[in-house]
Amino acid sequence: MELTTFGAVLGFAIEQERAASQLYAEASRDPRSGGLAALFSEAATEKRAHVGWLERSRREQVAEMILVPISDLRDEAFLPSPPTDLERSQILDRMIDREEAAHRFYRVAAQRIGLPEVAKLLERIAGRTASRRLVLEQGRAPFGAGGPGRHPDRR
Amino acid sequence: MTVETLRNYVGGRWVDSASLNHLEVTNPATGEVLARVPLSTREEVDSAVRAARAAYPEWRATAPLTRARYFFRLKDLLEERFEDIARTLVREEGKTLDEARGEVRRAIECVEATTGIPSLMMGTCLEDAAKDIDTVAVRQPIGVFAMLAPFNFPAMVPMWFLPFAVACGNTFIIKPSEQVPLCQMKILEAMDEVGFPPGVVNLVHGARDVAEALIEHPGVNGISFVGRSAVARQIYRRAAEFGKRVQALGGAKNFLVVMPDADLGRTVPALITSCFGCAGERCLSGSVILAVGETYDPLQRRVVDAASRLRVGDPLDETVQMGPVISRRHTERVLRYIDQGLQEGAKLLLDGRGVIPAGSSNGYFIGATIFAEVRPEMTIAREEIFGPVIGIIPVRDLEEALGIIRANEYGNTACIFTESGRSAAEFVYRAECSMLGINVGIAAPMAFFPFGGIKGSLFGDLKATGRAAIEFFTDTKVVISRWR
Repeated sequence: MELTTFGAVLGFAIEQERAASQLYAEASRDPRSGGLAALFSEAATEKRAHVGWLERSRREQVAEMILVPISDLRDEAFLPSPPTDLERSQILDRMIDREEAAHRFYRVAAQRIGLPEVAKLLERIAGRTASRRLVLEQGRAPFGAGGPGRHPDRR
Repeated sequence: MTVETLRNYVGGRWVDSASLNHLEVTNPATGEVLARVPLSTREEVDSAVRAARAAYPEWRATAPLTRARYFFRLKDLLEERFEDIARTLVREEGKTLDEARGEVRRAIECVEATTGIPSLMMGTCLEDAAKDIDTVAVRQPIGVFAMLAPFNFPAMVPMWFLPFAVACGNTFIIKPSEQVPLCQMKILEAMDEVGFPPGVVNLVHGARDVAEALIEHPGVNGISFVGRSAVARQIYRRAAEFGKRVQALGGAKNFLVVMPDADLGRTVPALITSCFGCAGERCLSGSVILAVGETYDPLQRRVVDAASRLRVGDPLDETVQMGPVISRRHTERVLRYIDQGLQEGAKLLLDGRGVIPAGSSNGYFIGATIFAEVRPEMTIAREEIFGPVIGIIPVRDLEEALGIIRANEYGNTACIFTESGRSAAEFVYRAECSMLGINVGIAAPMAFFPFGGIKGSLFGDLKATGRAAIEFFTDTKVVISRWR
């Protein structure tokens, strides 16, 4: 689907963040996640926050005077693979792919959206998805045995 | 499925109208009947005015800060219901979801602006205005105000008036447009939940009869109106006859001047948004592009290319960029203008007639329509079309563009696109319109600035929103004292 409007772009982002939040929350409750449960739970919370930011942006930063048709942005390129009954070892890979797709989407959308304040928000979320991906990659080594990786943003 | 019959809101209660006459509210994208709106009786108007009058003494004596707190709570409720109101707006009016969200945002901004009423209402004073004489000027509310709303911005336009009037201490009656009453009802539901005292805000459904009853009623002190200029002129005259304050915002014919030095990469999207946003049904919509000098050819090519790519369809589809116009009758009116443009010799570069989006065969759609080789004396260059139909006129220079703007009977908005500060300054100084855009296609003042035009676009002297609204909804009482 072509994302031709401000609302379509943010709507797609909200949908993806909401779905990611659910997946992370489910994974955190899955006993097979072992030591990664806390990491997934933290990611679910982060994604919920993103949903809130994006919804607020959609409410507050849409001003009719600056609506401009958006072009050359389709959602297919950024849609993660549909969830399936994955093997334990595949869950983390799937999450990493998801973060990678989200990161690419936010970078491209920030360039297309045409509203500086919204572009800043999308860039910010892009940065957080990149960080999240790194944390997930760190989690690969101890998968099933060690504790969660540490979010680079955290002090 | 049963279609809901809408109720009036009088004296803090939702009440059924006794009227036997109703109109249908339809979704302009699908033709679906959404509700039945009663054409309320004169007795029901009288009942609303009595409720408003009864509530006035206590409300005007309520501290401005207390009145402001109602609006803080209203803002919170409207934020919570933002998406619901926006989607209702899409269904009844036909604008896109983005446009509807933008409109609801603007409505909330009016509420936000009025939370500052303790400061906004402050008067002035001067010690020793004369020998041993002190003078104080205070702003006082006046009584009961009524608002007659248009169809094109059913959430926002009433909020140009209602919160300002009520925050000033007046009580209020709104008559929503009979074509689009639904989202205004949602806003009144929120006001009811906030707990405004009974009678402070009231809503009476209806059409011309209700408008006339409000204008003629001795219990109403002032009228605010937004709509076509012919009606605005009539309402201004009629309300004045009955001794009322009146502000009647009329129609527009808005010119967009593109100078040869304009950055077309930024200008063309702004023009498209201006001309075809809300299907051209805005009093700030660009209607005629005045292309200066050599910009005419490249500009028309790029505008046609961009407009032809606009996605027209059911505006509940988030990817749609332009929805339908309001009604079948309005469609026919807009189509007549297209015919007239052709008859008068304009060249049709993009024809929006016969656009029927998939699955929307019952909708009132007209695609973006662009005429070139338009001359200023043509009907399509002079009259308000209020649809997605524009003309492009080649002009020699800024002087000629300003002359065309000056000659037009309306004076709402005009915009210039240029990289030259000198051209922009000249334009600001000389363009005879009240809302000007520089490299902005829709020059919409925010809630803390006045909204309204000049010439045939405004009947009255005080505009909507901002300090002008405070002036309209209050009397300035001057007290001259000698105590020393």
